[in-house]
Amino acid sequence: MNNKDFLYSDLPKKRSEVVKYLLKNRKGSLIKILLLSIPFSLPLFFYLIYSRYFYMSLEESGVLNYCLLNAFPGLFLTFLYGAGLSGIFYSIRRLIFGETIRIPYHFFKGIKQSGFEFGLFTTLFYIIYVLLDIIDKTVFMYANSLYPIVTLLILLIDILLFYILFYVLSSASLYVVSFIQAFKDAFNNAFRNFKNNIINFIIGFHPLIFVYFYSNSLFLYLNIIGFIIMLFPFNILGPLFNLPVAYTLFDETINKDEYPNYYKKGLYRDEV
Amino acid sequence: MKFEFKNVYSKKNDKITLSNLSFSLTNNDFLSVFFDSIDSKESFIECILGRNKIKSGSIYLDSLNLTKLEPRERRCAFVSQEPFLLDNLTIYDNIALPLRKTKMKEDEVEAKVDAIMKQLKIDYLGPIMPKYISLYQSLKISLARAIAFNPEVIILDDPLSLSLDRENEYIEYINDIYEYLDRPIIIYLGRITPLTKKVLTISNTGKMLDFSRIEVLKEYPLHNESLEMLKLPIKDNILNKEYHILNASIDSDVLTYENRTVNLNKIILKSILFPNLVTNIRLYKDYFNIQDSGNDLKFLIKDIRRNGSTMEVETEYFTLYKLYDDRYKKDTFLYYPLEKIEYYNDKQKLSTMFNLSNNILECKVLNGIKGLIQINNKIFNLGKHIPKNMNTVEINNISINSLSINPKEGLEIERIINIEEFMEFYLLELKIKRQNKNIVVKTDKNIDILSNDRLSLILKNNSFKVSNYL
Repeated sequence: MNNKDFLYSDLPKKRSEVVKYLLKNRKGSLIKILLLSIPFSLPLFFYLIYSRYFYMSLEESGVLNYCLLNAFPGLFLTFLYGAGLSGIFYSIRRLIFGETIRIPYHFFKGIKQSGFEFGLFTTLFYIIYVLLDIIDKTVFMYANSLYPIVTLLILLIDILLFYILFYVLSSASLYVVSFIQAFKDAFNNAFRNFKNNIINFIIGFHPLIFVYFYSNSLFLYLNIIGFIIMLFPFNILGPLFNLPVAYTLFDETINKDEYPNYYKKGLYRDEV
Repeated sequence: MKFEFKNVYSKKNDKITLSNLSFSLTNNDFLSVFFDSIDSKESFIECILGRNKIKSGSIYLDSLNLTKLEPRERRCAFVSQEPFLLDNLTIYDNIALPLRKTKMKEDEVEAKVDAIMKQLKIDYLGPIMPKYISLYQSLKISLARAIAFNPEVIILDDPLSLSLDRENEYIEYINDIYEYLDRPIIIYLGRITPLTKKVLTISNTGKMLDFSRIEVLKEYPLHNESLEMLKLPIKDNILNKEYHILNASIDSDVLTYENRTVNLNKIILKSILFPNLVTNIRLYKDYFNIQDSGNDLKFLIKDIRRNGSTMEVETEYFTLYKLYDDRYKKDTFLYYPLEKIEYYNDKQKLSTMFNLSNNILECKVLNGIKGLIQINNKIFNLGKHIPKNMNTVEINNISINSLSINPKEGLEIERIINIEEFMEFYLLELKIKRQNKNIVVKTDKNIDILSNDRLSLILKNNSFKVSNYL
């Protein structure tokens, strides 16, 4: 018990302080969210690892066919993953905003609210990812000398898309907006303070990016171990590190004028 | 709402802890209870909360017999001395915890807790863990948690003892809770607070010593043990004490004051024994030892009886006040202190001054008594707030309007004052109970009250329980 009262002015002033507070004090809730995300994310992650392994074992002529075939099961699993992300985003949003959270109730409430929407967004991203993958493999087969450059380029595009997807999902986690508006919001905000935010994003999601783009058969077992040890907690830590950044941007670009109730929600506000 | 102990008898470890305990409270009451024994205190709490079955008697909340209900159904909350907050839950979750143990939906729980925290201005503490808040704030949170069920009765086991330096703040906080819960009954164990209205003292044998308004108990305790518990200086007991009144003489049943005579057997003084205690006072010679010693009248109070939950005061000491009546150009007297009469209704203390001059009764209202008084076709406003719905009560030669409609409890008559030829004041305090659609006021005269569309009032018989006003 503290000797001094906890005053309103003692509330965090920045969202980064909220993240520190949550990591220090709300581990239980975060772990619960993490555990609940398993059924949604595990199938996709294992599928990606397995498909990479499968891809390495194929002859060159079969790669393109694989890329096309890969899309179909991946679509459903990505949609499932997206739905799970909606639960994670909603739960973490509540934590960041200083609202109560009761797991699993709020996790599934998040899915109920925006699971379908998140599923669609992530699936769309996945389709683009597969198309880019096909280009990558085609270049690998027919223009081998360009392959390293194209691969690097596609990787950067993938990360950028993933980054934008994150902002689309962040927007969708907070507002009821149209598909197009969500993208507009994402573009409006994703490139503000881009340098810092993309670094933050890569730090937050680096294990996912690592496994997503670089897993192969040689490191299959390492990937699995890496997945369990590193990626898995980052299923939560990625959104936890990046949602506050996104919400801080939304505060300035959207909330301040349009949704004062959300403006600096969970933080100390001078005017209160 | 009425909360009532009826002849409650309880034992603990073969020791009688509550013995024939009877008292009643109404909403808005703040009762401070003092115990001479820790066992009695524990029994008292357990009986209300249902943690322990009482041996005999009943506890009622309105018509509900709490003794037949499960603890969770009783709508009684308890706040212990130590604030027990779960360290691994946020403040919000600590408050929501009891609600979540029920089948209440999460959305409803959140709406409820949000409303409580906002009302009590602690909403910013919601996401904070208990280790970051102070002891005093923990006390506030444990009280906020207790009210989550909208209890009708809240028992506080002296939480202030842990944070006495913040008493005023805590009292303000309780006031907020009062408003939020629409005036529940609060029972505070072991301390008189600025909010205390009534005091109950219980001996180490579990017997009720005193139960009355705090002001009354401080001045006129029936038992000196009560004062000891309250840590107040011991006073002379009012029983067997002689009281001195103005110069007057008495011959048999007739009191003579200057040229006026009053037949004591015929007088029924509806007066105030203690400043706030309205009683039916009768000048029975059996109870009074009226002595004539020259010009002085001395009254000896012999008996104050307690019957169950009611205190029947059958005796009175009074002072005759000398007033100059312009109408008769003479002195006259009144049978109770006129300088200051402190009135109470269920909601607030109403302190009223009365002065008699120029053939009218001047009523100076110090603090918001409602209604009007009409004497000899003159209407005097008794307060700032004239009730919208008013009935007229005819009593002999005067009619008095002093009614206000309480939407929850029906019609309340706050005061009826009767002035007779000799300017003897009959002061009644009435509370009207709703019985179907008729409201019955019990007093000593049959008085028809003009009915309006909503209510019909009949005053009949002379039973009048002081307990209603304690």
